Amino acid sequence: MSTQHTGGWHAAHDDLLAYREGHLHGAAADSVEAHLLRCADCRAALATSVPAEEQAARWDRLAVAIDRPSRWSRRSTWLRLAAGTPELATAAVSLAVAFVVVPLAAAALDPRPATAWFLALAPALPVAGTVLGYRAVADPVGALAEATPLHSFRIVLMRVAVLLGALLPAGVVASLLLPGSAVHLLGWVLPALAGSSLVLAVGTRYDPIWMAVALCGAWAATVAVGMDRRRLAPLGEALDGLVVNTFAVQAVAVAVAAVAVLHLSRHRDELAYGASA
Amino acid sequence: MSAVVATRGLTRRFGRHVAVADLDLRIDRGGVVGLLGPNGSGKTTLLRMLATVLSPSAGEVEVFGLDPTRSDERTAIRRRLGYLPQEPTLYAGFTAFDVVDYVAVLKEMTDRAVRQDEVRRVLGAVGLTDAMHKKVRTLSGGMRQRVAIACALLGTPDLLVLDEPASGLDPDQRLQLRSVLSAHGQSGTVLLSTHHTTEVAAFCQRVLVLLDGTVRFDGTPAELAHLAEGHVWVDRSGTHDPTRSWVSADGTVRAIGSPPAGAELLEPTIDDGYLLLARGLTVAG
Repeated sequence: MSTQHTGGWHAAHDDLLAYREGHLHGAAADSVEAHLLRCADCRAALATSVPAEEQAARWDRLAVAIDRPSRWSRRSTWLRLAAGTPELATAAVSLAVAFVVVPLAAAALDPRPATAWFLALAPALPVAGTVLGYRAVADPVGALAEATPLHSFRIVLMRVAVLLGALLPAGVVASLLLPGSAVHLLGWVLPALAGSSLVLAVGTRYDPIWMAVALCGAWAATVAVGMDRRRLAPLGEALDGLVVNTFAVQAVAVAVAAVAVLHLSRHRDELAYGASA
Repeated sequence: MSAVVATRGLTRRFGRHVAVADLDLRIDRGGVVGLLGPNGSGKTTLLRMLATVLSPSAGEVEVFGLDPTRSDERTAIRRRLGYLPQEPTLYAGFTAFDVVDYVAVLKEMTDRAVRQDEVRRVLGAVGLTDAMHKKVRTLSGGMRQRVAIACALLGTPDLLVLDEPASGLDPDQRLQLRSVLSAHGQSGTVLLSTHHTTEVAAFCQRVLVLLDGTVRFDGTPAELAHLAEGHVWVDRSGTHDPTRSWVSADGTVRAIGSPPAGAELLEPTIDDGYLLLARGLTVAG
């Protein structure tokens, strides 16, 4: 494996050649590698054993490997646009986990108020997520993007789709696992979609954060009033006929969502974000 | 020759404040046009309107003969436009390469290999080849500014609209920027705003001075300097007003305005012409 010279032990020439060609494996390769790290003579012998052209080619391959764009920039084009910043992706995952874990943990302690509060607050998370996807925290390049052909509501919609794609299924899972009728507990879905659409529609003209705050506040207050009247009723009765589950509320939600989507389809190139100053 | 930029009565208001007032402007293809003016003179507002990111309150604007207030035409303009905002913000966790690559995606460069070659080219043009894989948070202010300039250069746009591109750059980097923009002005059109008259004198073929939202001067840098002909003199009074006179490199006190009788007149510079306009100093005759 190795030979002793006057200056100490050195790797055998054949071993160096085999190492160079990648034919040494396991302990033999480790041994030669460990020796090369501390022996300048053997490193020099290895270097001169490689033809100059091959050395140049290997440096080129190394340079390409170092110069390779990061994992982020190798993702697909559309995923990059939709994902926005890593903070946005983290927020989406965190909100989705909280959407499931918090109500279930609360229900384990006291199912009736936990279930009612879930119903009251559930639409707020998708609406909050929508605003998050709209705002600067989601945008990696800010004003630099403003004068680019793709800078329009399409990008915001893609980010919002990612957020809602995480939040809505999480909310549905929580609804199905909570005590009470799933039909009643899923009453938040249409209001959530209506609120998100309305926030986006407002975003064609103004920063929609105040619309989101007002919507969430009004929703929580409306449902809380309904809950107050039924606080002594059993869980099933408390949810059945609660304001969120009334035909009127669901119909209004559908109408608002339809108007907002119509507005968005007509004004999809108008984005208040970034153009207000 | 068709105009790259044409405005008629262009006006932009923010509440009661009129940032750009009834502005008529025509910029033909080719060359570098410098926009000078003090803070609040309307430079950024004008550039934002020309860059299609701000709509006018009144008047007309055309870029490449297209109307930026119409969404389809706005997109067509943006395909031929490079824009550097006044205060670009870059995500600190991205590398310089990632930032420029992201903007390249927004500029519809969908072929990854072609796009990444272009990203390397523009980063090289601004001297960031060695720093392209460093995170933005580790870059100096001047390097971040160059990353943003690289974004504007993507795709060799027909019109470059740059809001204070020299901001934060050291003298060497400014020289490099002049070289890049001068080369761009050979084939395309560059419109840039700056506070530095030296930038304008160095490589702009045309200069516009914007004051209170209106163009107060439109001509060559030499013509701007010529405005002060006969109004720059050596002040030997010993009680010079710092707003109108200053000590030059050779120790003499230069003063601008109406010279006293018998004063020794000096050759005006573009600085003198600009100051006469910007400070509203009386120009007799």
